[in-house]
Amino acid sequence: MKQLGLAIDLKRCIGCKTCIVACRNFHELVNPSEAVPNQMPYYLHVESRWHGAYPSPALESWVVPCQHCPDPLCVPACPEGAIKKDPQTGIVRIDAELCNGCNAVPGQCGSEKTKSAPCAARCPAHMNVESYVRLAGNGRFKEALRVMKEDNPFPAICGRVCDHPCETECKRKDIDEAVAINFVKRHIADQDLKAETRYVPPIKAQRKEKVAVIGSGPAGLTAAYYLAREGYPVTVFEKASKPGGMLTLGIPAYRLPRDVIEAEIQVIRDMGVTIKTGVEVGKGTTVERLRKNGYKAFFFGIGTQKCKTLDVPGENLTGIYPALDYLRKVNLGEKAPLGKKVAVIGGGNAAIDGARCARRLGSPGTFILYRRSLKEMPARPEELEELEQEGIPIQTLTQPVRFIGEKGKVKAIDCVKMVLKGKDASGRRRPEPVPGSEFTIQVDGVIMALGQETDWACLTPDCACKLGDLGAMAVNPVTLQSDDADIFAGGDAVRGSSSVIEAIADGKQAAMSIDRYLKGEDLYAGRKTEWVPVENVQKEKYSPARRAVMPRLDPEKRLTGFAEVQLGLGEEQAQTEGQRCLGCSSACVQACPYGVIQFDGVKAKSHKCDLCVERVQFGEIPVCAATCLTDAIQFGELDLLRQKIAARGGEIVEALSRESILYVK
Amino acid sequence: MGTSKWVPTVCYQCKAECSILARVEDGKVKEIRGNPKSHGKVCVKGMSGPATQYNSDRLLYPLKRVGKRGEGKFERISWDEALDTITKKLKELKNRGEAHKLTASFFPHSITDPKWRFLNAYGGFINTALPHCDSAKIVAFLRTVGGVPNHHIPPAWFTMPKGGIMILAGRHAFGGLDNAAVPRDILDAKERGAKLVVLDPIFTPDAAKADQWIPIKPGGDTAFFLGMTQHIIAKNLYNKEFVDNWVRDGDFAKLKKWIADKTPEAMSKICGVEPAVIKKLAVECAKAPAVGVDSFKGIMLGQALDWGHAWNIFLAVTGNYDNPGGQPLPELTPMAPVAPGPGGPDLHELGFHRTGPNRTVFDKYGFIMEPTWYEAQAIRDDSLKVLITSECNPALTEMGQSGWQEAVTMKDSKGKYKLELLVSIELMHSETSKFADIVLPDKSYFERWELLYMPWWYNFGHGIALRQPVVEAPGECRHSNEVFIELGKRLAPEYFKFKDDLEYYDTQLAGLGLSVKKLQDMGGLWSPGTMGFYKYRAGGFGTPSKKVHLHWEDLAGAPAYQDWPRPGTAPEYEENVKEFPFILLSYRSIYHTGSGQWSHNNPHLRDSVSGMHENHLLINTATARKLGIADGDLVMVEAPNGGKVRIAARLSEGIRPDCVGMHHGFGSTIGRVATQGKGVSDNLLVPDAGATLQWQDVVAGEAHVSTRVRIGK
Ligand SMILES: Cc1cc2nc3c(=O)[nH]c(=O)nc-3n(C[C@H](O)[C@H](O)[C@H](O)COP(=O)(O)OP(=O)(O)OC[C@H]3O[C@@H](n4cnc5c(N)ncnc54)[C@H](O)[C@@H]3O)c2cc1C
Ligand code: SF4
Repeated sequence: MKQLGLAIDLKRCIGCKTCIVACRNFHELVNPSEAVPNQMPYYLHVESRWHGAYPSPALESWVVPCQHCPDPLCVPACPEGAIKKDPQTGIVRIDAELCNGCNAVPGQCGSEKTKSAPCAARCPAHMNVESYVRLAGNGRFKEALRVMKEDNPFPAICGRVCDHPCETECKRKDIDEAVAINFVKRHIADQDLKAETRYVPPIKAQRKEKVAVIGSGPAGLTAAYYLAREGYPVTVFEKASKPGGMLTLGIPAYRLPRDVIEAEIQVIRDMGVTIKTGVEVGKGTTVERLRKNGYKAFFFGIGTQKCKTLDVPGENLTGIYPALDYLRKVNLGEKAPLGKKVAVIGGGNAAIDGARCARRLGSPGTFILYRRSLKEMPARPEELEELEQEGIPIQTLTQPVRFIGEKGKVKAIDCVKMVLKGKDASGRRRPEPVPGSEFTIQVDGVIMALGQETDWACLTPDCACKLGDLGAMAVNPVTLQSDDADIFAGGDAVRGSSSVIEAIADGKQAAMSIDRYLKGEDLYAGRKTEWVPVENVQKEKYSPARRAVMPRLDPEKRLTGFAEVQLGLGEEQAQTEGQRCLGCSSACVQACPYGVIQFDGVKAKSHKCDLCVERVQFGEIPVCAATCLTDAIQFGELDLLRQKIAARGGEIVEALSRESILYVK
Repeated sequence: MGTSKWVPTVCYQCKAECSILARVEDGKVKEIRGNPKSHGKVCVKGMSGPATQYNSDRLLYPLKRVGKRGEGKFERISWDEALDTITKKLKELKNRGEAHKLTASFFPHSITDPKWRFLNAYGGFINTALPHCDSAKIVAFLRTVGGVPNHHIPPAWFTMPKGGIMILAGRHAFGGLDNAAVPRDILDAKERGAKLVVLDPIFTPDAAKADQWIPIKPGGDTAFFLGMTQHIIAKNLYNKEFVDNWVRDGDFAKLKKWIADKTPEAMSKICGVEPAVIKKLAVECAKAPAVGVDSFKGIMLGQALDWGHAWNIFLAVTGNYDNPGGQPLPELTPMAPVAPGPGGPDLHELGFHRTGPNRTVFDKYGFIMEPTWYEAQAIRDDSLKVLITSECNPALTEMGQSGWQEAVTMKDSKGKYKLELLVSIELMHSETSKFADIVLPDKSYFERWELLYMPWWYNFGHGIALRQPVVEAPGECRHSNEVFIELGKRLAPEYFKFKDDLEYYDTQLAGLGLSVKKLQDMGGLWSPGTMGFYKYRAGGFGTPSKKVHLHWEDLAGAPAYQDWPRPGTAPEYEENVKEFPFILLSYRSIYHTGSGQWSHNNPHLRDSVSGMHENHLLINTATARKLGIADGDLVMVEAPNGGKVRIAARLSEGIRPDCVGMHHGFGSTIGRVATQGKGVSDNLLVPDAGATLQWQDVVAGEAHVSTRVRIGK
């Protein structure tokens, strides 16, 4: 048999949904006496979109069955290898024998589409964690890499520095400990470090609208990655001499080796993205000038580059560095002498990294001053552990009130003891000074890591967009669009200092918005904004097993340079760890971008459209085509369908059509 | 897999009644298809038929009320007890000389329907169970051409020639289907080179496929068409041949004089459409080989009789009657009468709208059935004493729904219900059956015999279809026709000498040399196989003069002043403009055409993926922005009658900024599925029609659902 498919005529589809019910009847997907609305399986659904505005819009509606994609995402996602694409007919089918139903519950249906594995629900970028972890468990690392790179262009970077909120939600904790998701991710992603095993996603189409990305941090580069995939020519403008934002300028190499950053950025270059460093938008060029040069949309991912200050006397003495300046110098290999005894003020990432750098660069007496207690510290436990191993003490409940200098250089800090009372706006307990508790610490140098804010000098008057509270850009929370229809923003610039994975999530959402904006589509339609985790997971099949432990470099060896501290899991270790995953939802359901796979409420398996192969074998046509109210759906061999479309003067809408389902206008 | 076969029958998920095939496997209905021997299509509601059939809420036994009306407390009784109770009450009523105070409310599937015979024999009346039915359209056609096309006889779109013009005037033809094949046929005609024009304040799916969408002001159709007609006459583009030969002598001259000042410019002010648009379409229509106009929903925005009149004048002036693509005229099939035939009660003296204190208001009433919307008032006036409802849900659909519910629970000075007996024959409990004294379990359309013949099918002029049982009925279900035949045998035996429904149908079919068995062997369908164009050329039109009557002289002067169409929109739109800035559009979709349990309690049709889960307040995006309303916000909609509903807003570019839309028929309170869905009833915003006669159409029986509303938070 030849490649089979459907042609769906957008001029005829009126969105009546007759085909959906006909399909349910034929495949006996529901028991009509018990079916509950909004919890019923379906093999196809209807989408629609508006063009233009009153009084002359044009509504397009179209039915979306399984697309039998050329590169189906469900196929690699299945840890059992139960989903295959028939090379002859192109039909993607689920082998009911091989499907183990992951966590399908008999008699329950529908929730698998609305509810996700808790890890995926929690992940800001909603990575299909379950799929890649379980694929690793099956030793299928190559497929796992592909699955990861659907949702995240920087898995190797995240595998090292992500604060992995996913793990806090992991259901495995009910049995023993959370799956070491991030360690597994890193092992899979390290394939990206070598050109031979690297995964460079295919470019979907060729588009002509130029897009400018300002800032090459994770937010900006992620937006560039997804836009390049849609086929847009993207240029990234970066004011620093190296791309990567805080990955390069903030996070030091012992946590994130430079070759890892370079490898993943190289993928983005390989996809055709131009990265121009040393160009500061707002100074060298402006949005207005870029608009004139034909850029049709902008993404601002400029992060938070300015360090906040304490507003206490003596802050301008030499020997006091804002953390970002210090880290930037260190990361770019410049000199930043501090002396033996260094106080690092703050409790976040920048404080800890500042301290660990100072410790490595000849300041054995480095310590941290933090005004709250250890519990309130935003740093992760493993970081605190590494800090301790490296011999860096933390003095908590301490706040500097004055820097004392000698000949313009810092010499000592007057401090006051703090006590925690009540709650502040962020819900943390508020530190208050204890009267009469002042004391002085002698120091040789200071790093100030009190948090960062954005420098918005780049927003010249030709932009209408507003800044919200905290100096972040005000954007629509779903679409990330600003008051200028063509300007979008995300990452730290919008959230205030946050995390790499949040920046990635924003870059992805913004790219989707920009794509729709440039196509004149509805920015909101069908966007999933709420992710609900599954509650009930079957755990009976699993017995306790220890969580993998990350091998680390000896503390003594660490302090002599910037060698990577975390050494990575071995293949066998990664596979064993992957097997600890409970598979809380169904990986294929989560992988399918069209939402057309679901659990079979009766047999507790996944199932979906197979183009009615069993009918087709007997010379009949698929039910949807047989029952279409307006004859909008035609079935046949793809070559013949294409001929028929051409003969009727139809045009294939490439933006919608994958391979087997052709949308015609 | 056991035995599986496809059985031809007729769908009844909506009033279109399309011919279908049902696949029966091991005694169960599994799948539905359009019948290829008819038009070959079945819509999403029809496709969802098996879920109606196997709904766990099906009534299985006769019930009698044990609590108060409306409490919904029932007790199982035998069929004998149920029928005895009804018979006793009806005997008593007849003996009191008040047989005319019986009304049965049901959709008249067919003129062969034995329910109708029972009412004629007994002396009772029927109303169509459709409160906003298209009676005004029927009356308008009767008055001008003497035929009765209703919403089921749109232009035969499959005969529309290339270059023809299809106008949907306030008619969502892709949703409120005349036949499931209509969307295909319209799209086919478009592909052949006909033009599709949609006049609608809402951007319907039809508008999305149209060559031209004209977002007209609600109720502006009359003005729009008068403007077109004036222009056509002024430019001397009218169809002279038709006007000279087929318009009643003198009418055209009178029209010409009367319409002279109804210029596109003048009409534009009423309908909100640019004069240039009216003129352009007028010229195109005058030159097109055929113009087909369909309208049904338009008439529900008020002043339907005027609109029906203007529409007919337009058809006459352009000569678009009974031509390919134009307005088909009905034709009767020679069915044999079942003798003896009961004469029926006097329509002009009796009936609930003629016997109460408002009787003079209805002096010019011209429809053959009771105005359903007057039911509640008739109960208050003691003009309605026994009500039998079947396949309808007045408790929820009747305008000013609480009015109906109040009326049926009203008591007289002796503490007895004013409405002495309320019987509900239904598939499933509904808001209405909750009030009934007796509830009878009906057979579904997969379980019963029915001979369906109406001269207004979207068909080859006219045809007959057989609904036959494809599966067995559960429990003790009996079809309402069987119930009425049984009541006939008990109360008017001289007219019910035949054995059962099958014998009754056999007798009628004999007129065509057929029988139920023969029809069954033919695949359940009979048709003459031809449209029969230009039937009027042999024998003229059905009017007294045999020609088209443009002027309705009997309606000149007070109180109607309707001898010519009044171009204005509904009076409700002209009042309270400041306090209630928006016109409420009550609309339907392909998923739900009423409030019936077969769609609202059907899981497919209440599922968001395959149907509609809830209704929203459709509001123009710009309007919403001004009011500070975001998509999904809950808003309060208030009407001048004091009605209020809280509903989620849905922002859309596809609605006029001065209108808001609400899908009709939602707000069910009963049923396993229906109560899991959301939505509110638009009827709460509409005044009780019987109590606001000054707004209503008392000539043709259309009830105004027209109202203005305001939106608050
Ligand atoms: C020391 C440190 C350690 C951290 N550790 C972690 C960690 O372990 N895990 C984690 O998840 N997160 C960590 N973070 C936070 C994380 O790095 C940031 O949240 C993330 O990088 C934000 O990404 P972004 O793309 O929004 O902005 P950035 O990464 O800040 O990138 C913004 C880029 O825009 C450029 N730019 C600014 N203005 C202009 C202009 N006008 N024209 C052109 N270019 C401009 C800047 O030079 C910069 O390269 C850390 C942050 C710091 C400072
Ligand atoms: S239009 Fe749909 S529901 Fe109505 S009778 Fe036809 S198929 Fe059945």
